[in-house]
Amino acid sequence: MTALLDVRVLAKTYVAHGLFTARRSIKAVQGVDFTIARGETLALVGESGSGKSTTGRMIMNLVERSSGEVLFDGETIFDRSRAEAQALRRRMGIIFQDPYASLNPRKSVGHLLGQPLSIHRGGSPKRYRAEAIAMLELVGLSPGERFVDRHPHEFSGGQRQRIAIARALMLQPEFIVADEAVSALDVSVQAQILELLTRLQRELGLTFLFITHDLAVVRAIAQRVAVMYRGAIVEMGRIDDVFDNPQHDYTRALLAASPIPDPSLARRRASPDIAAVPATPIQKVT
Amino acid sequence: MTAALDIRGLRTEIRTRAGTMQVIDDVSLRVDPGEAVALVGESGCGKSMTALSVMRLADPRTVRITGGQVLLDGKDLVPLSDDEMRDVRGRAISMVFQDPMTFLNPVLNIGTQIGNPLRRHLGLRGAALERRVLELLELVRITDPRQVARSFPHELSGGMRQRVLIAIALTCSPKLLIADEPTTALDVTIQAQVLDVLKTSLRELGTSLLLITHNMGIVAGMCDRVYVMYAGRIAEEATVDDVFAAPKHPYTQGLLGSVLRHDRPPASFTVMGGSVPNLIDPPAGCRFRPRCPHAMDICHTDPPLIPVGDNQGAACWLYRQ
Amino acid sequence: MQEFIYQFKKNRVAVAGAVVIAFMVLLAIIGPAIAPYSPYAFVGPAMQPPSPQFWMGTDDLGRDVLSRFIYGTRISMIVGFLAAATSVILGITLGAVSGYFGGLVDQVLMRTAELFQVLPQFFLALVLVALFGSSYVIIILVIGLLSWPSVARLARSEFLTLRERDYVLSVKALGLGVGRVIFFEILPNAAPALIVAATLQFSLAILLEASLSFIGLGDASYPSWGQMLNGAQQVFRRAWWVAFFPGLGVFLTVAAFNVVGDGLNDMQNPRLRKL
Repeated sequence: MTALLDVRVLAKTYVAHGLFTARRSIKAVQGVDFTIARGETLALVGESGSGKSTTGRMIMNLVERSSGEVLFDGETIFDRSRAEAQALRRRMGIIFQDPYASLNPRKSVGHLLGQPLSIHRGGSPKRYRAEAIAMLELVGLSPGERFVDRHPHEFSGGQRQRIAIARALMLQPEFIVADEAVSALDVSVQAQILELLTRLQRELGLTFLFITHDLAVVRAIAQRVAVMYRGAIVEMGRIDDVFDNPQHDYTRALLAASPIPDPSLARRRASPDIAAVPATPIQKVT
Repeated sequence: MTAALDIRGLRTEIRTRAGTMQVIDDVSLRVDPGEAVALVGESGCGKSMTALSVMRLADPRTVRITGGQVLLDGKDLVPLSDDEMRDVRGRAISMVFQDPMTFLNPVLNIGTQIGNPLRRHLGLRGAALERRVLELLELVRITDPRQVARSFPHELSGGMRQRVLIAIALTCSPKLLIADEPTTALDVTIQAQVLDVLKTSLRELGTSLLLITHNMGIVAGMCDRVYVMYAGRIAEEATVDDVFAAPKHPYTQGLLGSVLRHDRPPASFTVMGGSVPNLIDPPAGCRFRPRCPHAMDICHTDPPLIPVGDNQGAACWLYRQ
Repeated sequence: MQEFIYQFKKNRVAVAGAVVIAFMVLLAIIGPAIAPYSPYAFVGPAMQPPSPQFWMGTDDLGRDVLSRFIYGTRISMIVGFLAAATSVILGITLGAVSGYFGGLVDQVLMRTAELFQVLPQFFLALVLVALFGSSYVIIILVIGLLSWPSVARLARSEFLTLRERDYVLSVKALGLGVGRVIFFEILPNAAPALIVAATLQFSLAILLEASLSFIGLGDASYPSWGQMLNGAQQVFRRAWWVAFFPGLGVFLTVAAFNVVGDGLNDMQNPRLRKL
């Protein structure tokens, strides 16, 4: 069965140049390969500078790739005609990390939820009020009428993230990129949102690319994981295999450094080596 | 033995347009000399405000301490004047915040910034000052202290900056260090290094730690005792072992039930319903009552902190004698 | 909106400024209907000091200064408004495009802006007046052309920041067209800073108009404050009121717009917010 998402040697190099400075290039993503089967959740794990967010954004076509290929349901997502690109956008959605920044503060919730439909089906977002209310109920903000005319700043972080999820689902996509979607939330709210996402995945048959730095979240929500370090995937496999039997040094370092909420286990851990993990260098272009 | 920090019945309120928020309502906690104590809770519970109240760093136009005592080594900080408080801060008690970049002056080099409290509080100058600065950088395990002392904040990585902040906080060997989410902005591998540096340097100086965090994993690795805060009140106090093994307060149980771990997947998602109460007009009695699966009639009255076992206490009527 | 008014009212100086502006606007609208005399008529002996008959005295040609002042208010406000509108619309459009697209477009537009900033103001005015004559249309155009770069820079910096926001990426991921992203998603969020710039542009425009008319580049056929000041140059020593009142008009209006602009600016800074 063909994978829903097939990423091949996807790479991104940023070139910094001014009139008087030497050209410097930064390889943010160095040729990553992975596939995601329909209905699956693949976690993309890494720390800052690993390239995981850039990878996610290239897949959503928000950042231009430098090289490589991304196939969605067997067809490339790059260099398509306007109509084809719009059709693709309906099938792929994205949820961002910061619930305070991902919703335009000047628009009402109803407008924000109606907007995807208005862009793809025409008409003003107001026309889709009923669909917006239905979606709010689906993500647990009930009754929908109470929320639809208010503005984002009137809601808590967890509620805003639910609104962001609702918005991503309005066009009934098949695939969703969740870019640190629960990282900015309190522990109990995080549990609520993860529970919501897993339920929606079951009910709607969604496929997820879950980008995060938190290994505990990965364990809770994904079937497979790809570990990224300095722009490359250093290890990939089923969760149990990678976490219980890590092969790469970096994966081991990451697991060793991640805090465990268990005092007896925490006490048994050795002191981390200061020099173990090198900083990310900037490569000069000759 | 006098506690390093003894907060008794602290009350703080914040004036807002919509009304007055009882952001800290009768909070008592204790940190003994050499101890590491965690103050945990979620957003809005008042844990950061507790730290700011102790340090008297909150905006005096809107935030007021309305009751209780904050005893630092036996001396009450609440009635102190601004000048007196300035002598205490950075000397007897220090604080490390979440974002090192905004708390370091971008135009001064590291050596100068570490030197400032030494100059002000200890009167060090010249060679003695320089020596102490380098000693402090070594205390936080920075490998090239001279180079770093000459550098500026933007030239250092996030982890190094946070270590510099710790060094600045420890310049005068304070009795107590308050760390408010010190590693939340750092990568996990860097976080582990910084926490380790924090642990060893505090041990070396005999400084107590009040760690404010929402991350239970860090608490397990760093602290001896825990206070759990909810909606401006202490819900539970316990040793770290006890709180993880047998949490007593329903909120603590719910919180720990939501905590995820990477060494095994969760059996299911235990989700606490409802949300944090509005602190301008909180519900009467126990503030967790609207969300509590064990709520009873008596919960309409404020529960005191009831001892449960040797070193544990929960503000919950389930444990009334 | 209520929150806005509540916060604004806290700044007494800004409120005073707003009152002055409201008064000037009112005067501009209904003034000519209540002016005691025609601004062009020779109604009395020349150079009379303020008296019950002529509240602001008469000028060197025997015209009522008060009536000229009232008509001048209308002219100055209209010219100020149109000139500010020109520079603001031009500045926001070019700045938004520059900030949003970056790259070559940004470079070209910003160099153009710099070109206009570098041109000596009065020289440009002189050249245009010499070529096209001194009508108020030319004055409005000149002021607009001289002032747009500062608005453009502000708009550019707002757009550079806001285009990276997650909510912009969100709508781009949904496929929203570029034009709509700029005008309906980003611009409303840049509005607070741009409104402040617009208020300051208004005050600048009034000042510039007065200056240009004062040195004789203006349109003498209508009595603006600047024109009155121009005419008052010769007789200032003997008849202070001929220059004083139009000068006061310029001063009060420009100061009013400035304090209102500052007030709006301060309101946006959360640290300055009083409870």
